[in-house]
Amino acid sequence: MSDKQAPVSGLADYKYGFSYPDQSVYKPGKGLSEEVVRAISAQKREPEWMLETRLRALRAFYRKPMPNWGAGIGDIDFDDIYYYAKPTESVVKNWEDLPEDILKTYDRLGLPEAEKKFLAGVGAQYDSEVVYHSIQEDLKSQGVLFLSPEQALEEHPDIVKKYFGTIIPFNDNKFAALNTAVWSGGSFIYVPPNIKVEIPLQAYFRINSENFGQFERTLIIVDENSFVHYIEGCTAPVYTTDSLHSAVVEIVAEKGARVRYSTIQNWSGDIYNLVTKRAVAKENATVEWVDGNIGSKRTMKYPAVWLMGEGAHGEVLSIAFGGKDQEQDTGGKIVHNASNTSSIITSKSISKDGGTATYRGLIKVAEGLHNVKSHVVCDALILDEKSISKTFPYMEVESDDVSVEHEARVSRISEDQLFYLTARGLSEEEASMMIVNGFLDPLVKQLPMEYAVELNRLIELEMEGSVG
Amino acid sequence: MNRSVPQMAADLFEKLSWPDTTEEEWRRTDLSRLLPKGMLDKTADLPILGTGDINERPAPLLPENYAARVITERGIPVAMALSEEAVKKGLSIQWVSQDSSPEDFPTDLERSANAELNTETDRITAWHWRSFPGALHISLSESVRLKEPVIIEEKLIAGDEQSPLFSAPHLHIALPGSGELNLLWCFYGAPEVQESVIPVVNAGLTASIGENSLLNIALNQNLGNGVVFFLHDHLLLERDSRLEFTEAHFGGRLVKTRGRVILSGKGSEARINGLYLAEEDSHKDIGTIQNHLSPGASSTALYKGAIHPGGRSVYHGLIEVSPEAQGTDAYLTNRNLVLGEGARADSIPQLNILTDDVKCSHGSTTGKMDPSHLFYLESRGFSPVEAKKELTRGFLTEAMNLVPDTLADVFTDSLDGKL
Repeated sequence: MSDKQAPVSGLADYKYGFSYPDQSVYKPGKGLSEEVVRAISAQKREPEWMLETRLRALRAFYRKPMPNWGAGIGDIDFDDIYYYAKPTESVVKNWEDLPEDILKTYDRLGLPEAEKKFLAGVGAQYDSEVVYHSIQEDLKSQGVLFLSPEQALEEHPDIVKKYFGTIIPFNDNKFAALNTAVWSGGSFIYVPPNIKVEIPLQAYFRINSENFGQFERTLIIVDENSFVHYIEGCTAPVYTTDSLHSAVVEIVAEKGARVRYSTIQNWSGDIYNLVTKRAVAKENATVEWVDGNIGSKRTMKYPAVWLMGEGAHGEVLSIAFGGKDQEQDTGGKIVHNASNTSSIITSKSISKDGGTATYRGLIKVAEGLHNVKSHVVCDALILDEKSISKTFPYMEVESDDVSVEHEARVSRISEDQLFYLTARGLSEEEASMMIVNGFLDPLVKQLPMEYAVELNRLIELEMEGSVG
Repeated sequence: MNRSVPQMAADLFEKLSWPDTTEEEWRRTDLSRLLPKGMLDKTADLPILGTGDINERPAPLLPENYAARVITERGIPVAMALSEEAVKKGLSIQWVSQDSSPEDFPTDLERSANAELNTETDRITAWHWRSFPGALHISLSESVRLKEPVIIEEKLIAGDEQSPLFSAPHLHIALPGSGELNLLWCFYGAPEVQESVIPVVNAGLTASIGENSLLNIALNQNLGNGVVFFLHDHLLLERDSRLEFTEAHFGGRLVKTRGRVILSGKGSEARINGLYLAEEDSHKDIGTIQNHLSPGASSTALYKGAIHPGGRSVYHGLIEVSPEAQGTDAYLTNRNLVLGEGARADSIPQLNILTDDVKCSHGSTTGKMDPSHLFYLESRGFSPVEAKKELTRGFLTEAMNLVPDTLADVFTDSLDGKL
C-alpha cells in the first residue's frame, strides 16, 4: 500500500484483479427492504417525488417475475447484496483531493493520463457515488451539463423530473425496477440546442466492495441539432463471490440531434451484468450504441432505440466475447414508430473455452408506416468445440412498405485462412489472433482510438494461449 | 409399466394446461384470444372415435400413375386403393388402431410417439396422441424405389351443434434401407363453418428414413378458412438418407405447426420448404427445427409467406447443432411478402450451435412487392390486380420446387384457388 510507484496500468496485471480495503463511509446492511430504499433517499436528501418513485419501483421489483429466458441468472441471491455504499463524504473537485486508495485504483486504470489527453470531463465512480467530477471550461461555457444524477437532481430538478423514468418506466422489467428503487451514481448529461460536443465524455465505473451491487443511473438529453459522444467503461477487481451490476441508461435525442454511446464492458468474471439501455430518437435524430461485452459472468443487455420521429436513424454495434464460464446474452432492439426511418444492427460474437455468446435482438415496425428500412447482420465465430453460439433475432413487422433484412452466420476459423497465414511465417497463435482481430475490425473502427487500442489489447489477452 | 401410447398421452394431457403466451413457442399465438373461450376444452371432451378396419372399406378408383390412394375422414380411412404393382414391389399400408394391443403397435411408431411426448411437448401434442383414432402406417420393403406417389387425403366435413368436428389423423412412414417413396398428404373440406362449431384438426406426421433412403413428402393444407389446424412432425433421418419435404398452408383461421427434422445419421441431408398464405383474420404460426445430431449432415430450409391485410404470420425456425455434429452445414431462409396495410409478419430464425466445426447461417427478409416489378407487368397489359397476383404466385412458387411434377398440380390449383 505504501508503494508510491504503482505499476502502470498493465492489462496483464489487471487480468488477475486487484482491490484495496473498503473504506466506505455509510453502508446499510445487506439485503433489500423499504428501509434501505428510504435510507438511500434520505442520505441523498432527495425530493419527495423521487422517494415515491423509488418505493413504487421497489414494489414493482417484488411483483415482477425473473426473466425465464436469456442467460442463467437464477442463482442471484438478492438478500446477499449491499444496495448502497457512500464512499467519501462529498463530491471532490480536484483529482489530488481523492483518498489515496481510490486514487491508486484509478492510477492503475490509467485514468488521469487518459483525462489529460482525451477527455473533456470525468465522472469516475467509486462504489456508488460519484467522487470525482470535472468539466472543462469550454464545455461549461457552452452550457453543457455533465453531472452526477444526484447533483443534477439538486441543481436542475425540473429537467430531471421531466425526463427521469420516461424512457424506461420504473416497472419496465425486474432489473429496471430494482435500479429505480436503489439507484445511486451514474451520469447526467444535458446538451443545449445547436452544440456539438467535440470531445467524448467519459466516466469510469468501478465496483470495489465485495458483494456490492452497483446501480448507476444515466440520463442523457441532447437538445435539437446537438451532438455528444458518451463513453462508459467498466472494470472491476476480481472477487470470489458474485456481485450484481444493474444499470439503467436513458437517452433522449431531440429533433436533429445525434448521440453516440460507447461501452466496453469488462467486469470481472463473477459479476452479473443486467442492464437496461434505451434511447428515443425524435425527428431526424440519430442514436448509435457501440456495445462491447468482454467481461462478467452473465450479461444480459440489449441496447434499444425507439425511432419516434420521421427521418430518425438507429444503430447498434455489438461485440461479445464469451470466454470460460461466461455467458454473454447481448444484442439490440430497434422499434420503428415513424415513417422514413432506418436502422442497422451489426453484431460480432466470439465464443471460446466453453463460453456462450448469444445474440438476441428485436426489430419491430409499428402499423401504418411507410419507407422503413432495417438491416441486421450477426456474425459469430466459435473457437473450439466446447463453445456455444446462439442467435435469437425477432422481427415483428406490421406495415407493408418496409424492407426488413436479417442475416446470420456462424463458423469457426477456417483451415484455409490459418494455412495461408502460417505459410507466411506466422505462428498458429498469431494467425488466429490476426483473424479474430480482422473479424472484429469493422466494429473496432467505430471506436475512438484509445478505446480501439484497449479493446484490441483485451482481445489479445483473452486469446492468449488459445490455438485456433 | 408398459402403458400404451394413448394412455401415456392421456396422463400427460391431464397434467398439462393449454399452452399460453408465457411459453416462448406460443408467445405470438395466444389461444385464449384467438379462439372462443372454452372451445378447446369442449372439443377435447368429444369421445375418442372408434376405429374401423381398413380392408372393409370400398376402394375408389385409382387414378393413373399412383401407387396408392387413401381417403380418410376424422383420421379414419374410409376408402383405399392400392396398385397391384406397388404391392408386388413391397408397398404396404396398414391401419394401426389406437387401441391395438402393445404387440401389434409397431415399434417405430411407438418410438416416434415417445420421442414426441418426452421432448418439449405441449398439451396440443399430448392431445393428438391421446385422441388419434389410429395411424396409417406406410412402409416399403428394403431397396425398393417407388416413383409413383402415395396419396393420402383427409376430407373434412364441417360438423354441427350435435356433432362438432374434431380430427386427429396420423401418418407414419417407415422406410428401410435404400428405399424411395413419394407421398402427398392433402387436407381439404369444410369451406364454410359456423362460428359456434369450429372444426379442429390436430394432425401428426412421423417418419423414420432408413440408410440411403429418400423420402419426398408434399403436404397440402387447403382447408376452409374457419378451421383450426395443428400439425406436428417428427422426421428422423438415418445415415446417408435424404428427406425432401414441402408443406403448404393455404387455409385455416388458426394454423400452428411444429416440424422437427432430426438428422441422426452421418451424412444425412434434409431439404425442407414451406409456403403459407395469411388471409384476412387468419393467423399462421409455422415452426421448424433442424436438429443436427450427427457429423457431416446438411440441411436447408426455405419458408415463404404472403400476408394479406388483416392477416398475421409467425415463422419460427431453429437450427440446433449438438456437440457431436461436427461438419454440419445448415441454412435457413424465411421470406415474407406483406401485401398491404394492416398485415403483420413476425420472423424468428434462430441458431443454437454447440460445436465449432459448422457452417450455419440464416437469412430473413420482410418487405412489400417491388413497385418496379408491378410497373413492368402493368406496362405489358396486366391489370394492377392481375400483376399483384402474378407476383405473389411467382414469389410463393419458389418454395414448391421440391414437389414432384406429378403432384405439382395439387399445389398450383390450391394457390390459384386462393389468388
